[in-house]
Order: sequence, then C-alpha cells, then structure tokens
Amino acid sequence: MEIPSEIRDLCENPTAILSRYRDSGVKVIGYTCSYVPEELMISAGLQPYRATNIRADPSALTPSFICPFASATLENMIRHDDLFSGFVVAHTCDPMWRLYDILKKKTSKPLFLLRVPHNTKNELSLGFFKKELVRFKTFLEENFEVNIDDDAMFNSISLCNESRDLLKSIYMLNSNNKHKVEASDRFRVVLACMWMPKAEFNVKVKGLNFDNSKTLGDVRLHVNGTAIYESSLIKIVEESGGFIASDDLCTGSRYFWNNVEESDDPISALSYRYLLRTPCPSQSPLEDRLDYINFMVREFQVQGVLTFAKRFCDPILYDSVHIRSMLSKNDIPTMVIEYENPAQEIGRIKSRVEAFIESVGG
Amino acid sequence: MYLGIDAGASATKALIVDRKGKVVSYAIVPSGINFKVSSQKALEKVLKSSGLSLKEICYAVSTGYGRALVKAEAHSSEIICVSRGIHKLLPSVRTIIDVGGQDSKAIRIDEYGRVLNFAMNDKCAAGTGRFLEVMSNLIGKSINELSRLHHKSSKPIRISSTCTVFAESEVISHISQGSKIEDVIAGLHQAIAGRIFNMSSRIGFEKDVAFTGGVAKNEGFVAALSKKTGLTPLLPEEPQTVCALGAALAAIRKYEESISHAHL
Repeated sequence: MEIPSEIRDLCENPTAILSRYRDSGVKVIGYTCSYVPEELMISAGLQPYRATNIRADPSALTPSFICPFASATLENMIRHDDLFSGFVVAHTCDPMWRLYDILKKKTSKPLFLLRVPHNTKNELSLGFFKKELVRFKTFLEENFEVNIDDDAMFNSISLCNESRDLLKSIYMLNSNNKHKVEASDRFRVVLACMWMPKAEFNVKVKGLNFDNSKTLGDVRLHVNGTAIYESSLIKIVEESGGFIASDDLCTGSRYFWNNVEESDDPISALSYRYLLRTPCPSQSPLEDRLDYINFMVREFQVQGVLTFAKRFCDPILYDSVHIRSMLSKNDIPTMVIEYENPAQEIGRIKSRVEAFIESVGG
Repeated sequence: MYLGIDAGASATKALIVDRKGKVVSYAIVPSGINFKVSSQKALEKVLKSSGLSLKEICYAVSTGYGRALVKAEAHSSEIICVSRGIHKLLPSVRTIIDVGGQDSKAIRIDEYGRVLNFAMNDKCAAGTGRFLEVMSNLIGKSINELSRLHHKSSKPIRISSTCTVFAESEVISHISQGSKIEDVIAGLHQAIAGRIFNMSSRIGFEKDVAFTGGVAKNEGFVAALSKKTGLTPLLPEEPQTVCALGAALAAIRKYEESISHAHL
C-alpha cells in the first residue's frame, strides 16, 4: 500500500504545515531533538514541531567547522521565526548548545534550554532531569498563560503512547527476517509524526496496511548516524540493493521505541522514559548504545551496519569505532559514510553505499 | 565478446574480453566533461583496434564515477570491479591500493576476489591523481616527466599541508626559494603517498599488495608509496584498465545469468 501523498509531501517540505497551523490559529513550538518531551508541549495546548535542516543551507552565523546539520536547523528556525510561538533547544551535543546561544540573540519568541544530563542511567541524573522538566513545565505555563494539570498530562501521554505504539507495530513488521515495509515509507511515517497533530496522525496511520508493499533491495542493513531528514539518503540505500531493516536514528526508532508509563506521577514517568529510552550517541554511556545496536542487529537479522555521519558529528564518529570493533567479532561488516549535503554529493555517497552493499551481499 | 567501460573522473577506459575472460583489446580516452561522449569515443576506439563490430558485444557493464551516464546493460561499483579485475590478473593479491583521478581507495579482498573491507578518500583532491595534475601544471612538467625526474632527487622537500590549494602555495614558495624541481616533485610524491598510507592503514596491508589506477603508472609515486609502506607491490601490466577489466568480467557473469534465467 502506498503511503498517503499528504505524508509524502509533508516530508519534502515540512515548513508548509507551519502556515496551515498559523492560518488555523494553532500555536507552534519548535524543538530540536528527541530528548524534548512532546507530551508537555501538547498539554500546554501547543503543537510541537521538530525543527529540521530540510531546504536550508548552513547558517552564515556559524563557522564552517560546526556540524552543518545543527547550523542548517538554526537557519530554518530563524528564517521561519514568525511561524513559531516559541522554541526549545535540548542541550545535547556541543553544536546544539551553540545553536541556542545564537538563537537567543536572533529570536523574539520565548526560548527554553532543556538541559539533559550526560550520564543518563543513575538516580542523580533522573532527579536532575525531573527538576528540568518541572522548570520546562513552568516555562510553558508562564509564557503561554496556561495551567498544565495532571489530567492534561495524562491525556497527552496516552496520545503520544498511541502514536509510538503505531510506529513500533509498523517497525516490527520487519523483525525476524521479514520484509514487509519499505524503509523509505516507514521513514516518512516516523517524520510525519513529529510534524502532524498527534490525534490526526493516529487516525491516518491506523488505516494503513503495509503488509504487501513492493520489494526493493534485499541486503538487510541497520542504519545509524546523525539525525537524518533527507529521504534521498534512504533512497540511495534502497536503489543500491539495500533494505533498511532497522535503525537507531534520532529520526527513527530512537524517537518512538519506548513508551511513557501511565502512572500517577506524570513528571517522574516522563523523566524516566526520556532518560532511559534508546541511547543517544551524544548523551548515553557507550555500553548502552552498543547493547542496543547488538539487540537490533539480532532482532532484525541484519547483515551489515551503515553509519551516515554528518561532517563534524563527533558523537557518531567516535562511537562508530567501537561499534565496528564490537560487530567485527560477529562478522557483521560496518561502513561509515561522512557527508554534508546529500543533494550535492549523491554520486560520491552512492559509490560507497553500492560497494558496501555488494560486498555484504556477496 | 564482453565489454567493460570504466568512466573515471579523469579518463574513460573501454576493455573487451572474450568468453573466457581473456583481454582482446582496450582503449583509454580523456573523460572531459561529458561521460556519454567519452564513453562513446572509448567504445569506438576499442572496437576499431579489435576489429570487432558492436553487434558482437553480448553484454556491457559500466563502472566508475560516471557509470550511470554510460550506455550499458548494467553497472557496478568501481570497488567491486577493481577487486574482480585484480583477482583475475594477480590472484595472490589481498590488498589493492587504487589511485585514480578523483578517488583513492584501499580494498581488502579474500582468496575469491570478494571485497572484505575498503576505505576511500573524502571528497577532497589531496591524495589523488588530481593533486598531481594540479602540481604538474604549476611546475610546468608533464605527468610523464614527474616520473622521470623523481629519481634524480637527492633531497625531497617536505610538503606539510594536505590540502591541494594550500600545497600549491607551499610549492610556489619552495620554487621561489630555489629548491630543485626534482626535489619538489619527489616531495609531492611523498606527500600523496603519506596521505594514501594513512587512509590504507585503516584497513591494513595484507600481502600481496597491488597498486592500480592511473597514478600507479607514475614510477615516482610507486617508489614513494613502496618506501612509505615498506612493501614491494605487484603492478599489473596496465594498472589503469583493471577496473574496466572487472566490469567486463562482470558482463560475462551477468550475461550467463540472464541466459540461464531465460531458460527457466
């Protein structure tokens, strides 16, 4: 089954939906990464919108040696400033922190810096992050003149859990060596969830049946790397005979893999979910990330691991060395592809991807 | 007869093999800016030299940077083609260092010629044939002369910059300070060899090691890289057409597959 053209178009030009929100009086809050709980923004009556680098070149306000993804994301936020009611930046990797500093000077809209601890797996961090979420909630209440009560949070948690369940069920169709959903379709559906109103998304995606989609490549791969919004990268893999069975991308499984417990203490439940979910290369202990990748490689029976690292993406590049050495023990080949702007270097990326897939496929 | 066309960034190579994979003829032409034109020229040239007509070609496979633009039944990546080509010529080879016009790559292969691992340069001209082309223009010596003059050097200069643009100004300052041209040339070869050594070290040098690609025809560079790696490399008779040979061998395989599918 084809995914709806609405989702397809949205992924090509997500900013178009911002005008729709403005025209219908919906207040939009732009956020940078999957550490920012959408639940809190939704309970404040706001529409969360994941800021992206799509259709933007790196900002002239940053030096050329900074991550081009963070820089182009900043460019998009500044360019469309009038369409947003506010912004949240998570303090994760260094460029995001710099992005916050520049945005602070460039926007007149309320701006919040959500500090995410680096060691995500201990009581100290959980206590800290819980306080951060309370601070975030207060920021939303004060700036948007709303009161976020527990009921509002219960509702938004349940709404987001439903979206995550839907995404995970689509994802699991490819587990155990099965091949039912094309990666490019699945990729677009995940992205749409970050831009569409959740209730609308849930209704739309519930009606999709992926069971008999067309088959492109057949070499099963796990993909990781810097947050990918460019469907052209996924397309290169498919056209080269690869099938992305699994991923641990910020714009992939990391976004929806774990649910929030629907408990009496929503803030605690949120802090647990966001810190203990799928590990992020910039924040989580390396061992957790290796364990997760190992799990995905087994669960989805992948034959090779492909890493798309945006130029200067240190967390991804450092981790890739450890991932390579772990997987080589199990004879799983790995390949790191550094890139800047896929549209301008398709030939170069394709040569490497094709050669990798041909060598994995034998 | 089977055709392999390697549309490289600098030169386009066409090579014809017979059913058994024996090389019948080959042609090398500059790629220019249009791969369709250069591949057509290479094809005409190789047909002429072999006395064959286009009808006698059963199957063609294209490879190289411009492979998608070349008229062929199928295309394959240059990594796979170089590996297949070298395995046919020198079966003992386990590591290939291929330096072309725009790409340099190190490839590890197994005893069947299958790719185990590979490393490639970034999108940068340093450590490729392009680097030498820029420098040969700068110092006014042809690529062929670089090879000859390299061996006359007694005290190669040291190029500290890995960037082609910065290295260019470094070379200019060496020349203006009176460095001998042969020392500059040897220094350039050492710089590119150092760059390729670093890249290849990521995958290791299992013996035997072969050098391929157009730059492997430059004896000065081969000497510099052999010295840097401490290895005695195997060199195919025509290092520039190894990739086209791999493509032609792929054409045989793909043709046979298509025949067997047709019989099913």
